[in-house]
Amino acid sequence: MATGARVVATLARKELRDVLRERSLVVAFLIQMLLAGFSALLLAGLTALHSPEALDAAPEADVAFVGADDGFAPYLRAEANLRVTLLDGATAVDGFRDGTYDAVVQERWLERDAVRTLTIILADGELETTLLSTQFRQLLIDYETDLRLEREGRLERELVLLETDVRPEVPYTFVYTTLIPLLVITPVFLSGAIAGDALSQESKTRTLLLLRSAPVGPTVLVFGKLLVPVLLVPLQVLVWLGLFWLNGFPTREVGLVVGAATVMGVLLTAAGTAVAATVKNESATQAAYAVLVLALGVVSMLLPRDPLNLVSLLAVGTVEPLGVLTLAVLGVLAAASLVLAVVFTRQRIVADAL
Amino acid sequence: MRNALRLAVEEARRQGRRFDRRTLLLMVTVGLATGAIVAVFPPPAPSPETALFTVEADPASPWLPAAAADDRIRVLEGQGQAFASGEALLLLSPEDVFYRGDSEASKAALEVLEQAVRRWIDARLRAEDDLDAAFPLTITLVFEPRTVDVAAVGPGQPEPEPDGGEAPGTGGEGPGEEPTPEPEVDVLEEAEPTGAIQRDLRPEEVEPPFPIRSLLLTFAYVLPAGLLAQVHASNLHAERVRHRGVLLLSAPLRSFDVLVGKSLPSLGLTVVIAAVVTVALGAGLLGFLASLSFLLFLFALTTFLAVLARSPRELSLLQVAATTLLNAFLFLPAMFPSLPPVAFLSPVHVVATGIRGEAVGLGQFLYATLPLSLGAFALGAVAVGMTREELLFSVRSGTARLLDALGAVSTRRWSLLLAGVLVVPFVFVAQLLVFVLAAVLSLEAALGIFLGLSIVVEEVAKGAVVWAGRRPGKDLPTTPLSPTTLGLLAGVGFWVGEKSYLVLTLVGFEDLPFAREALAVLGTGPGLVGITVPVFLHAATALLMAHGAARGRGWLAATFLAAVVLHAAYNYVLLGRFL
Repeated sequence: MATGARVVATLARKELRDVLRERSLVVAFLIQMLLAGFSALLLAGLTALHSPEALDAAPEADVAFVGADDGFAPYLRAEANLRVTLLDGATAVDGFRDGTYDAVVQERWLERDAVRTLTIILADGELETTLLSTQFRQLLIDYETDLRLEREGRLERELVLLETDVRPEVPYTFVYTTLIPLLVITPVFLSGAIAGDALSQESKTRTLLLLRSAPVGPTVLVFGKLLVPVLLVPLQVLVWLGLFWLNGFPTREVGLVVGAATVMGVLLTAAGTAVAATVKNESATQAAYAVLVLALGVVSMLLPRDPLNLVSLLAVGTVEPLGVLTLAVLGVLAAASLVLAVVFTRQRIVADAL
Repeated sequence: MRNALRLAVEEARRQGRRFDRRTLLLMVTVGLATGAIVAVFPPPAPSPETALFTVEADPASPWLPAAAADDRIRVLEGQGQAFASGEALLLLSPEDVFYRGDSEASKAALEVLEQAVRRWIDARLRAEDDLDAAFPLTITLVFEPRTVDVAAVGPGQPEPEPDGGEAPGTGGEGPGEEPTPEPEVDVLEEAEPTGAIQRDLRPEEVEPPFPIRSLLLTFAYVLPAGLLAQVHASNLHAERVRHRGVLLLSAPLRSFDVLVGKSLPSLGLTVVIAAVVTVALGAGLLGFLASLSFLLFLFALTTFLAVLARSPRELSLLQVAATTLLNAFLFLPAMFPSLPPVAFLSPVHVVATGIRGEAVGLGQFLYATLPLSLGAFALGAVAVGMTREELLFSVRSGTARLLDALGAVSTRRWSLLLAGVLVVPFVFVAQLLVFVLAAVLSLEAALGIFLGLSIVVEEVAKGAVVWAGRRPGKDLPTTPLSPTTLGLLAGVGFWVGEKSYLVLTLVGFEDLPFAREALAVLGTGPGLVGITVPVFLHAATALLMAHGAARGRGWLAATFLAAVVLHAAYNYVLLGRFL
């Protein structure tokens, strides 16, 4: 057994050299970097959506207000970045058209205590509009709450309120529910692609024949080939989590996050190898693997916690029964697929079908 | 061309064969199995926020039912133990909600709880009799496209006329002053909006529009076309592994036939993609043509990279980088639709305008599509130039290969003129992007940044041509030109290409801040003098660098610096003289 382990280690070293020489790891990292850069851009956009003040991006804007001055207008006027001008409808619309005003707001009602109608016109397709409408939404919510309180006597049910100006100073939810899960899952996808690539390369260059002439059993050979792609997963995940930690987003259950990623990595590495053993041709392998990953992604939504949710939960430190169950299911699936992939690939190698 | 067509047919046939029956079977099986599983157990939508926020609640807390009703919140019942231990982010007591001021997680949880409470109370109030009291607001929202006249607007933020007294209409700033405009006038009728009107919204339903819609438009085209281009590029590249393509090259075909023939099937599919996506988006004929300009650029770029890259890995790396940059170039300018000179920098804006059913002027169309079309042509020409045995299979560093590529175009004396012209679109795109973004972001130093960068970009481009022309590919059978001829040709070529900047004057570019100065600097200054004089500058700097290049790397670097200084001095004089 000890020799078996040594042989696996030797094979793994050879694989690692191949991977490094092929620069796929470098490419994988660079692709992730670009992904991260792109996410950073999206992050800026989404942060702005989430809370414009967090970006300090609440734009200086001119609002043309049409209607009585004691309804919604004071709410607008209380905002430091908005300059409110009371106008008649025609002038307001003209001013909006020529760019003097960034928004037109009209408030109307039949009676003071009836429903109030607010008409809001904003410029289409501009970044500023996104920021303004985010700001307007909060003001409208405040306004509605105040009107409800004014009319509380007319309601049968008690108003349960929770009003607060407390907002997180960082895009906490976005980072933990989108960025971290995506960046943890990316190495998992790549591991399967690297594994499939490695096998179809061997098949194409006919180097499997050489490997087989070494005093190594086919099972050990397959294990050796699988080991490196799998081990790359925790490595990359740790780097990502480290970067997030440096940026002030610590991961709570590092061990479990890395564990979950590795387990999924085993699953996809096995899948990638099996696909390569079936298909052989390099680019066809990639296409088939992509289809398989898409399918697995859809099916994974049926897990008690879907993989992205699982990573989010573990990253914020919530270990709860459904999450543990998901981990267990993933573990069983990974083990099963590993065995299947090894047996199948071994068969193909022994049959000289590769 | 007939040869190219014959090759194209052969290539299409080969592509079809690549997916053998086994692979197709595997893919179809996986697809069907997934379809069956999904049909039997329809999966829920992914919800990465589920149970993310753990809160502790006293059973008597009025907020407990609201928290329990939201699936983002995981509720533990208790009186503060979990909150104290840090497991729970919030504590909901009968009287109050407690959060931790030093914890971002806790603050985020509070925000989520606030939403949860609002949703819950909304649901409860729906059963009220007095709906005017329960839902006192109704909102009508319109996002209306508009075009702002940049001439009227200073750099940066659209500034209104000075606020206060002379504001049009019955304007007044003081609270509760005179005006109560007659409520009968409906601003909606006044505005006659062309945008979609959203009626009867509740405050929570005011959805901020996705800020980067142009990004989605870009992706709609670039994703499928990019995938296709990638497959095509890796095919082309495979021919270069182990000199496989050498057979084809030794056939009595011109390299043009070989490359174009091998590319035609994918090129045809690219056009189909452009057409299908345009029809799906409803962007009209101009939208289709505009999309062709950047999809062909993408195609030419990937083809060029396939000829350039030394390994499949390098190819995919370069491809990802190039596609990302192109994406940024396509969607960034389109984010400013009310400033046409900026927005039309990207052909995606032509698509967006087409979707809205508005007209695009000929000048605007040319402005949007010409740089990328020229760029596509230039890249294609270089790729064809590189399709020869000595270059395809040579083992050299990446930069050397890039220079070989430029040199490959300039095998004949006059083609160096062409090389000078060919680099211009890239310079053009780079400079415009810098200029427009600098101007729009209202940087104080916009002109300064633009001046500095454009000088460097222009001299780098000329330097590359000169350096490449100095030794046009080690193995190419060319007699080297004298440095003087080389410099003159490259400089004049650049000047000719530079005249394409004239298209800028077609879009009202002059209305942008600093535009007159920028145009003069770009060699299309006012009057005949402004247009012809730059030829001396370009010839002089190119000449300088050509002589530097003839003496070696270090000399080239030195003369490059000298050229930059000369160029800067020229700009200084020019700006002082003409403006």
